[in-house]
Amino acid sequence: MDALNGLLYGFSVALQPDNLLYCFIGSVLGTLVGVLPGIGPVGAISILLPITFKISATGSIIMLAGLYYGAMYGGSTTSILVNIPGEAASVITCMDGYQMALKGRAGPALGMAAFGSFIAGTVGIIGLMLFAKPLSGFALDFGPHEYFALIILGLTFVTYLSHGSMLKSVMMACLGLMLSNIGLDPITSSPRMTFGILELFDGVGIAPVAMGLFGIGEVLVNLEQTITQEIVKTKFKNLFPSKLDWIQSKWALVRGTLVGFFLGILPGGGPVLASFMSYGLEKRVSKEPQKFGTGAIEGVAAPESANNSAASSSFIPLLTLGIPPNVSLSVLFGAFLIHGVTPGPLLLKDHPDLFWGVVSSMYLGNVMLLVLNLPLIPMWVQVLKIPAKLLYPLILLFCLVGAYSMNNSVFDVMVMIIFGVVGYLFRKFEYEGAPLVLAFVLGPMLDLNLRQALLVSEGSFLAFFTRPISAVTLGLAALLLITAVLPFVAKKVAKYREVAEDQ
Amino acid sequence: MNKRDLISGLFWLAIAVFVLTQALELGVGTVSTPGAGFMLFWSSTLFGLLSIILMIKALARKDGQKGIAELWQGLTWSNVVITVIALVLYCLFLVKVGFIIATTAFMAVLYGVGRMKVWIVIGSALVTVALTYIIFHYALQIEFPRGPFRW
Repeated sequence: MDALNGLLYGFSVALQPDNLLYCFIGSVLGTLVGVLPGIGPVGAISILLPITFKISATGSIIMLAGLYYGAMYGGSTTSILVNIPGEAASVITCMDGYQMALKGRAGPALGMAAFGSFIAGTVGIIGLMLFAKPLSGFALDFGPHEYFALIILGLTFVTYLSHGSMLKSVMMACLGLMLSNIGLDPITSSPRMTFGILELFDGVGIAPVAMGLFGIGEVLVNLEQTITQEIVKTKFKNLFPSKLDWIQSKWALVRGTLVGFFLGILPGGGPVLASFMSYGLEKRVSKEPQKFGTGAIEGVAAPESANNSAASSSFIPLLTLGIPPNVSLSVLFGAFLIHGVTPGPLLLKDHPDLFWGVVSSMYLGNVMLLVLNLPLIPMWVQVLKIPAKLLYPLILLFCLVGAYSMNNSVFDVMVMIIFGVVGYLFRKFEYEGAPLVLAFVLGPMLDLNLRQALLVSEGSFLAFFTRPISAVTLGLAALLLITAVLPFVAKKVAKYREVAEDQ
Repeated sequence: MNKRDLISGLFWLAIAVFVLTQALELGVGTVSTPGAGFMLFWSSTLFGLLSIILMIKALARKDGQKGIAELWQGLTWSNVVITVIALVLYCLFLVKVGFIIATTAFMAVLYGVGRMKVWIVIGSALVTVALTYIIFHYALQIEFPRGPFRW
C-alpha cells in the first residue's frame, strides 16, 4: 500500500500543469532525438542540462527522464523506415523492422514497436515503484566501505560497456577518475590540479564534458561524412499490428520485458545491451530462427520492449543507490547534483515529491509517447528530411548557448569545445567516451568513500572484507573482472599451445 | 605495428606522468591517512601502466600498418577544421563583440560550410540568431554578453 500511496502522491506532483508540460516537452524532444540519427539521448540530455537550471529540480528531472525514455520510442522509427538506427538501442530493430517495411508492413512494425515499448515501459515503471523503497531501506545501512565496493562494482562493468578494446575502456575510466579529482579536495580543501584557474576550483562540470564528448564530438564526426538516406515510401494506413502479429509476438514481448528489466538494473547494462540480448534470446528459442532478419515481427517486438523496460528499470539503482548504471543516467545524475539533490537511499525520505513525481511522470510520459508516436509518424518522416547542413549548426549553437548559460562563463564553453575535439579524436583513434563519463561521475564518491573508509579502519583493507555487503560486492566485482579477462587469456593460451605443437 | 595506438599510448603516458607528479606534490599520505593526492596517485599509476601495455601491443601487432593519415582519407576533414576554428574564435570574441554579432558571424560560417547560396547563409544566420535570442533571452531569461553596442 505504501507504494500505491507514494504513486498517488506522485501523480499529484506530476499532474501539476508545469510538470505535465515538462514531461510533454521531454517526451517530444526525446522522440525527436531518437528519430534523428547523429545525436543520441546522452548528447541531448547534456545539451538540455543547462536549460533546466531555470526550472525546478522536479521539473528538470521529469523533463530529462522523459527525454531519455522518449528516445527509445523514437529510435525505432528511423530503424524501420530508413535502416539507420536513431540511437544505439534501436540498432537491432533495423534487422527485421526495415525488412518488414520493404514488404509493405512498415505500419504494423511501427505499431508493434510503439505498443511493445508502452507495455514494457509500464512494467518497468511498476518494478521501479515496487523495488525502490525496499532497496532504499537496505542501502541506508551502507557506510563508506559499502559505497566504495558498490562503486568499484559499477566501474567494473565499464569493461562490459566497451564495444571495442577493453584495455582502452579501462584507460578511459582511469582518465575519468583523474579528471574528477580536479578542484578542491573535499577533505582537506586543498586545490588539486587547478593551476591557479579560479573556475577550476569547483572542478570540471559534467555538462561541458558530456556536451563536448557526445554533442560537439558527434557533430564534428558527422560533418566530415556524407550520408545519403532513402526513406521507405509507404502509406501508413494501418499502424495496428494484426491479431496474428500479436499472437506471434506475445512471448517475445514478455521475454523482452523481463530481459530488459534485469539488464537495466545492472551497471553497464541498459537499453543497448538489453535490446541485443533479447533479440539473441528470441532467435535462440524460436522454432523458426531462419526467419529472423527477413521481417519477423518478434525481431521488432523483443528488442523494442527490452530497451524500454531497461530504460525504466535503470532508474532503480540511480534513484535508490545513487549509482548511475549507464552513461545517459550518469549525465542525469549530474542534473540532480546541479539542483542540489543527491540521489541515493535518502532521496525517497528527503525528496519524496521528486522521487514519486518522477516515477508517476514516467507513467504519464509512456501514455504521451504512445499517443505521439503513432499519429505523428508522417511528421517524424518530414523531420528526417531536414538537411544535415541546417541541423548540425543548430545543434552546435544549442551546445554553445547551453554551456555559456550555466555560469555565464566563456570558460565552460571552452571546456566543452576542448572535450568536443577530444570526443572527435576518440572516435578516430577508437576510444570510447562512455567509460570516461561514468568514471568521472563516480570518481568523487569513490575518492571520498575510499579515504573515509581507510580513515575509519585506520588503514586496514581487511575491513572491506569483514563487512558482509562490502565483501560480497567486491567478490562480485572480482568475479566479473575475471570473466571479462578469461576469454582473452584462454585465447592466448590456445595460441601458445598451437605454436608449441607446431614446433 | 599499430601507429595510432602507439602515438595515443605515448600521449597518455605523458599525461599519466604529469598527473603522477601533481599527485606527489599534493601528497599521497599513508594508507591510514590518505592525502589529497591518494586517488590521483593510484589512478595515474594504473593509467601509465595501461598506456605502456597499449604501446607494447601496438608495437607487437603484425597484421597491417594502421597509419594516421588514413583516418582522414576520403573524408571532408576541412569542414571539421573550419568548425573548430569557428568555435574557438566564437569563444574568444563572444564577450568582446556581444552575442548577436558573434553568433551571426558564427552561424554564417557554419551554414557556409554547407555550401549554400550566400543569401540563404546570411538569411538563415539572422533568422537563427533572432529566434535563439527570443527563446533563450526572453523566454528562458538567459543573459547574453551585450558587446560594445549594448545589443
